[in-house]
Amino acid sequence: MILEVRNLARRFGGVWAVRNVSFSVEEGEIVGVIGPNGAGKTTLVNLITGQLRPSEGQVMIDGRDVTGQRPWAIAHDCVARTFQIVKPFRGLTVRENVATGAMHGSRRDRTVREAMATADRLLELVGISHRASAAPAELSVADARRLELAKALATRPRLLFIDEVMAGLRPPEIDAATGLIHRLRDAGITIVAIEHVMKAIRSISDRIIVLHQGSILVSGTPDEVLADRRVIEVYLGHRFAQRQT
Amino acid sequence: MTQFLQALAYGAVQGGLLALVAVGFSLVWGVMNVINLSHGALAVTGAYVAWLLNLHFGLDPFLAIPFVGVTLFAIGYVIQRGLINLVINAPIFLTLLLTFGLSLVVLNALQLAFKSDDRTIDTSYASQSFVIGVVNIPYGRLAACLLAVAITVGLAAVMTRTRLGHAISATGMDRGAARLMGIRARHIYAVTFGISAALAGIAGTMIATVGSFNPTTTPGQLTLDAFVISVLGGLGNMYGALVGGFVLGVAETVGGLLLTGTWVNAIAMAVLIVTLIIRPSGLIGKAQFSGRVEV
Amino acid sequence: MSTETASLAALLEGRRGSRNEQVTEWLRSRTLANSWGAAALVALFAAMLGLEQVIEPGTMRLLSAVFMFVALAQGWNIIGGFTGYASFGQVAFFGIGAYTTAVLMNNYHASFWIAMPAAIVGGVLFAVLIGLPLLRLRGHYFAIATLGAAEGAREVVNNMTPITGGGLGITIPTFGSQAPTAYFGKPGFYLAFLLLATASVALSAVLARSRFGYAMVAVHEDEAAAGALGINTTTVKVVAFAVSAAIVACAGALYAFQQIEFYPTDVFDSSFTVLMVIMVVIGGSGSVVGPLVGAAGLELLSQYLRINLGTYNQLIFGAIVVAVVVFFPQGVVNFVRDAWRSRRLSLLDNIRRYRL
Repeated sequence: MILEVRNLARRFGGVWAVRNVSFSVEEGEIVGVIGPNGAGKTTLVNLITGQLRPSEGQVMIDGRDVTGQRPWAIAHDCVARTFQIVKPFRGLTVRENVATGAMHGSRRDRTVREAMATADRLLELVGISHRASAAPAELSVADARRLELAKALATRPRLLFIDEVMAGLRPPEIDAATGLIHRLRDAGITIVAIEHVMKAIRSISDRIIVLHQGSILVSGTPDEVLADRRVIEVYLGHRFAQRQT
Repeated sequence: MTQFLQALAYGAVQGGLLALVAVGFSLVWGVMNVINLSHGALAVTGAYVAWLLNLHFGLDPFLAIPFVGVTLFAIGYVIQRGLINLVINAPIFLTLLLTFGLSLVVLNALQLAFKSDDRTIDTSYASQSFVIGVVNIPYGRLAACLLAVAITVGLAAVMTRTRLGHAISATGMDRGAARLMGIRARHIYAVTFGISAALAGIAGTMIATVGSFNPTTTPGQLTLDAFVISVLGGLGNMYGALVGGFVLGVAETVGGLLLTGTWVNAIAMAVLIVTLIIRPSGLIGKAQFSGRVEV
Repeated sequence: MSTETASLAALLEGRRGSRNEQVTEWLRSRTLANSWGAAALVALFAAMLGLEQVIEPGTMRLLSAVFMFVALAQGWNIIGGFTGYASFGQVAFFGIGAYTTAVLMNNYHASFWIAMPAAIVGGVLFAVLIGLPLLRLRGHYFAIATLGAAEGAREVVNNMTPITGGGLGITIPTFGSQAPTAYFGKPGFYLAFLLLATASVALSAVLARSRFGYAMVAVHEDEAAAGALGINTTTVKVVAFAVSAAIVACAGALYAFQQIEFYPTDVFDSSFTVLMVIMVVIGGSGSVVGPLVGAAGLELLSQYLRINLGTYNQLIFGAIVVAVVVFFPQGVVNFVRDAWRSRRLSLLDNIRRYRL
């Protein structure tokens, strides 16, 4: 198990954003995480990757307890994530953005020059090498997502969390992204994908976990989960669920 | 014990005055995210206006307040509309530098016009005091303090109950949205700064009645005090400025009793830093416009 | 696995070159990227050195002040410009550097060559001490907190009368057998400040292109994203703060020796900090050349005004600061760079940039 989460919980004042969440991820899997808005998906990622401290529970990576570690320590444990609202370094070029990850992440490049070379190869992989010298502000939405992904990849992760990368993409772009994710898995990266775009999540995931109000509602194969009455109810309401099943 | 009570009373009264110095500063910072380093200079300008009126027309400083207020309001309006609005979207430092340069200009202009001598405005009643129990409170200081409190409360009322006040608050919270609703942001900013300048000028006048002022050291001291009180009370928070003013006033006088030398200032700074770390939104409640703390 | 995937997998493994490879790589990157800048700096240094032979002592003193401000500005730029944590308490390090030097030389008859490193260490220690709690604050709050720390430091020094002489000031013995180190004299200080200025520019340039430099910029732009990429933001901030403190403390040490006699209010004067900030912002913050240009330009301007305009000098200075902020908000260096790039020189555009 590359990742194991036990009874993870986080409260903000009186509200439990995440509660009693337990699951595990095997190396080489692609796990989808879905749920309505406010279900706690991004909070879950923040808890695992160190942006937030859990109120309860444990996070184990390769069997080691990493609960509550700072984000950079998690990054050095070969875990990376993208941010839902992309966070490029606006004062640096696209290439420099990625290189910063390559020179500071796990198994980092030793020199700035090497990092730039790594950056170039990653930009080519995600498909924005023609924009390498541009400023991030000039990128389109799809390209900005690609940059965000390239930055995360630059830290050479074995486990990658991608947070709603498909939002706002047109169908051809979604297909390209799906293909890329499959190639990443083939190259040895375990992926946990938070998504709203059902078509995409269905085609990439081996398994899907459904979050609702901070807890796991159901988990299983895409077909099982998406036909589950509770899932339909949570997304589309009680009456629709009744009619469907 | 008597000494302690005296210091407490004195500090509290002083605090009201300090609050008036700070409330305009805090308003501008909270609404427009501008740290006005020329605030003290504007206060001293107000003091000079009152001093001149007193010198040439024998006008009592408390009666001079409307004149000072209007004059400084006009000056403030023009400064904001003509200068600060030009760099309002830039990183914080530019407004800091702009106001710093402005303060240099104003300070030196005052210095050239009036020389660096200490000035004060004497009134017959200021030095007399009345006694409560064992505590001695000078009339002048008390009047200044009460006026300061009244003005602060009045300002808070304006902010919460008038259209103008609502416009200012709205612009402070979300300029874009405010503009979409027909609020003329440039004008509102200028009005806000004008109010702040007027308050500074009035505070300067009060300070002139209870003590002395000069164009070289007073402005810097006042600006620093305004800084500290604004942070203690929370940005843009009128009542917070009052609280902060009292805290600082009492701390300074009581501290002066207990500690020798200038350890007082060191302690004040330590308190400030600790407050910032533990409770950056100020000692009382939430700062109204604490959303933007980016440089 | 397709070749593409295989190469991706290899990329993810990370190349680990041998030591030799790494060193040659490092050397190559130095010479190629930085040759122009380094050459320019060396030329400037040589020019300033040569200038010493032909100018009068008064001008030497003036230029020494310019060099000192260049160093101070570069120091501030590291924490304020690159890392984005605008410290308003830099003068604390200046004062600590000055007083450490003075106390060691006066009370313990230490040589200047021992006192100066000690001053630097003192500055760094203080930076770490206040940096760890304060660097958690952002923006304005960090600015005020550091301002408070500087004021506090002054008061502490003011009150440690038995050691520092408190409000009565402190004097460094410089005559005859009393002096632990012979006084440098104007040419000596000229050279010393020139070296410090050059070293600070060089250090800034090296940092800017290094891994640490990218880390600083990343922390400035987005701390959360920086952390997610493996950058220890706390370490970066504290180290940047300490480096900037070291430069400023060193300047303070030299200043103390130069002045011989001073009071706490002289070396803990907040207007030093404001000047540092102005110089960097006007020159162009976050760049290597910006602080150099800003410091040199502003200090020369300030001295010129003082000499030629007497009483009006501060007023004109203030007016010029206002004018530069309005017309060149991004800093003169960046303005020139942008104008060069787009072949357009438009002040009007510049004014419109940030206005409401």
